[in-house]
Order: sequence, then structure tokens, then C-alpha cells
Amino acid sequence: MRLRLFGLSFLAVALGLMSFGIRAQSRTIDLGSVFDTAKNLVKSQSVGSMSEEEELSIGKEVVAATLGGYPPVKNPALQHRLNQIGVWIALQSSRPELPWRFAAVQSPTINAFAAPGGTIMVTTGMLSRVVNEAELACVLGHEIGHVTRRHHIGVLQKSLLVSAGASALNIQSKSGSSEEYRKRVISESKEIFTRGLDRSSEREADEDGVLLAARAGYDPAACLNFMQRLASLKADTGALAALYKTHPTAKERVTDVDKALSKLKGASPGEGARPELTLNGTETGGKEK
Amino acid sequence: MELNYIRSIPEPSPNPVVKIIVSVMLFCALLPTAFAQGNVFTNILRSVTGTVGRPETPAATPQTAVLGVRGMDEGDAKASAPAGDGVKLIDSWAVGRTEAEAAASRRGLTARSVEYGKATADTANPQGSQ
Repeated sequence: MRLRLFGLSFLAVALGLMSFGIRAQSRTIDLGSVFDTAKNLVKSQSVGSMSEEEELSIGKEVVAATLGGYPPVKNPALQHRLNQIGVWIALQSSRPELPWRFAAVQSPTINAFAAPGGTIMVTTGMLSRVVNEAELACVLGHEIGHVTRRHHIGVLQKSLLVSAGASALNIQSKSGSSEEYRKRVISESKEIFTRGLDRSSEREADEDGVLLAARAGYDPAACLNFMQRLASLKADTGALAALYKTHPTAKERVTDVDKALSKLKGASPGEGARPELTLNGTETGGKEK
Repeated sequence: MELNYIRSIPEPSPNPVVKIIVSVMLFCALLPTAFAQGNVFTNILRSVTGTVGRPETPAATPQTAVLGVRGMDEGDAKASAPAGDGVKLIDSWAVGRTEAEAAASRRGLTARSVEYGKATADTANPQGSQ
């Protein structure tokens, strides 16, 4: 089905390009741009076509841009400990070899971000809401899931298909260089990361959060506890506004996490560690209310 | 005479017939992508109107932020500027596999082989759930 959609898409765009090719004899048109765009179009058809190097490169740009608005907490001991926990969980994922980076960033909002290539940022607002290391593992596992499944890259490439089609049919467009293409990739990725992912991607990431926490030796039920606590908070509070803009509601996610727990093989809810969360040598997690 | 009158009309630029053909083709091309992104009509309209209606690159939509990561607040996004030094800081806090494994071991954590099977009829009833 996906292949058929790809075929139809490409055929339609190819026909579109042909019609402009004929017209190019009587009007000024940059055929180089058209072919470049077509090439990029084909290149952007599948998630697998983007190399890990490209993924890392895009990720670095996104991280740099993000840190402009969410500065990292300048506490090396805290950041170091967060990385120890995060890398341990990432090692249980399907992409343990990625250069995983974890950072606490300053913001009262309850949120966490994943950038392509393996950089995860967690707000201080989020860190104040998790009551133990197991809950933090669920949060980090969710974000790790977005990276390992290349959710952002997938949406980015679909979005590039749209913009490539637009560019190809713009008869005023000039020759597209790889630098322009790179800029377009960055621009599109910024919009996607602000807009958010679809429901199914978030569900997959929630499942990954449960699975990775369990694999790392934590009690996977901590994921449900955390989500239930989020659900008990008022959705319109400022701290949650950004989270709910891009995620399903916590109540929906409670259901998803509950289902995920029921499917686990090799670990049961209630089994596993719930270590006290200590970042920087002192207890950092919020108090359960 | 009538024919001459018609011929005297300057040709629109570009030809509206071509515009329509291209619009239909572009619509067909973008439909699967738009579906994939979940917001069919917005994405199609954004693409088609941006391509055919205007000769220049489509302007950023109101949703476009200066930067962003999934879930980022748009206000923060617009107010921020790239922070290359922050990336270097984050790199300086990186931890390798060996250190992470040793730290986990000190916390009493052991990796387990866990996978997903089929959902059971009973939903999970974890200890301590609220």
C-alpha cells in the first residue's frame, strides 16, 4: 500500500514536471532546479534513506536552536548523573551505539524533548515532578523511543516531499544547491518539532518508555503512576500547556501505558527497582502527593 | 475578426490551463503525504496555494517557529537564538557505556530481557497504582 502511494505520488509529480518541461521551451525555467528537486524528492521518500550522519547533523542544529530558548542547567554533577541514568536506559534500546546525550534544561514547564541523533532534554519542571528514578526512566525511555524509531526524521521527510513538490512546480525557482536543501531540511525540522508528532507515534513512544524502563531493571508500573499523576493535574495550567499541545492527554496515555503493561513478557508491573532519584548527590525528585 | 480580438489578448503568465493541470497533479502527489501528516486539507492547501498562487517561496505558516523541538512552547521558540556553546556543554557531560553500566550496578539495577507479547484480557494492576 505504501509502495503504491509512493508510486502514484512519483508518477503524478513526474507528469507535472514533464508538463513544465514542455513549457520550458517558451518560458524561462531552471530545469536544473527541477531535476535537483526531483532527486531530493526521491531521496526523501523513506526514513531509511537518510544516513545516520545526516540525522546527527540535523539533530545538532535542532539542539543548538533549542538550547537558545531552554538553557542547560549549569550543574555538571546533576548533568553527569542524568547522563548515567539516560545512557543506561538507552543501552537497552535498539540503537545503543548512538552518541546519546541527556541534559536538564531550565524551564518550569513539564516537558521533555528528543532531537534526532540521540540528544534528550528534560526540563527542570519535569524533573521536579518525577518522584523516583523509575519514573524518570519512563520519561527518558519515551524520548529515546522517538529517536530510535526516527519519528521526527520520518515526518521531516514527508514534509520535505511536500516542499520539494512545491519547489519543483515553482517556475521562478532558481537552481537549488545542497546548502539550500540543507537549510530547507533545518527549516522543516524546526516546524515539525514545534508542531508535534501524531497520536500513533506518541503511543509507540509510551510503549517504548515502559519497555525500556523494564529492561533497565526498573518497575515498569512507575510509568503508569507518573502518567496518572499528570492526569490529575489541571490541563490548562501553564506548566502542562506545551506538553498537551503536542501530546495526547494524560488520561489517554494512562490507557495506553496500562495496555502496554499488560503485554509485557519478562517483567511484571510491581517488579523492579524504584530507586530514590538523586541528582547532584541530593534527592531531586518531586514529592508524591 | 473575433479570432483576431482573442489573439490580441496577452497570454496570462503562466497559462491558467497549465496551472489547473499542475494543481490537480500536485494535489494527487501530495495527498498521501498530507494523509500521513494527519492534517490533509491544511497541508494540501498550504502546498498548492503556495506553489501555484504565488511565484515566490511560500511564507512561513503561523505555526512556524524560529526553532523547536517537539513540544516546545512557541513563545520560547520565537524568543530564542541558536546556542552553539550549549551543545559543547552537553557534549562535555556525556557518559560512556562502561560508566553508565557501573553506575546502574551500584544502584542495584540489572538489565532484563523484556519484550511485548499479546495483550492479556486483564489489564495490568500494578502495585502502588493510584
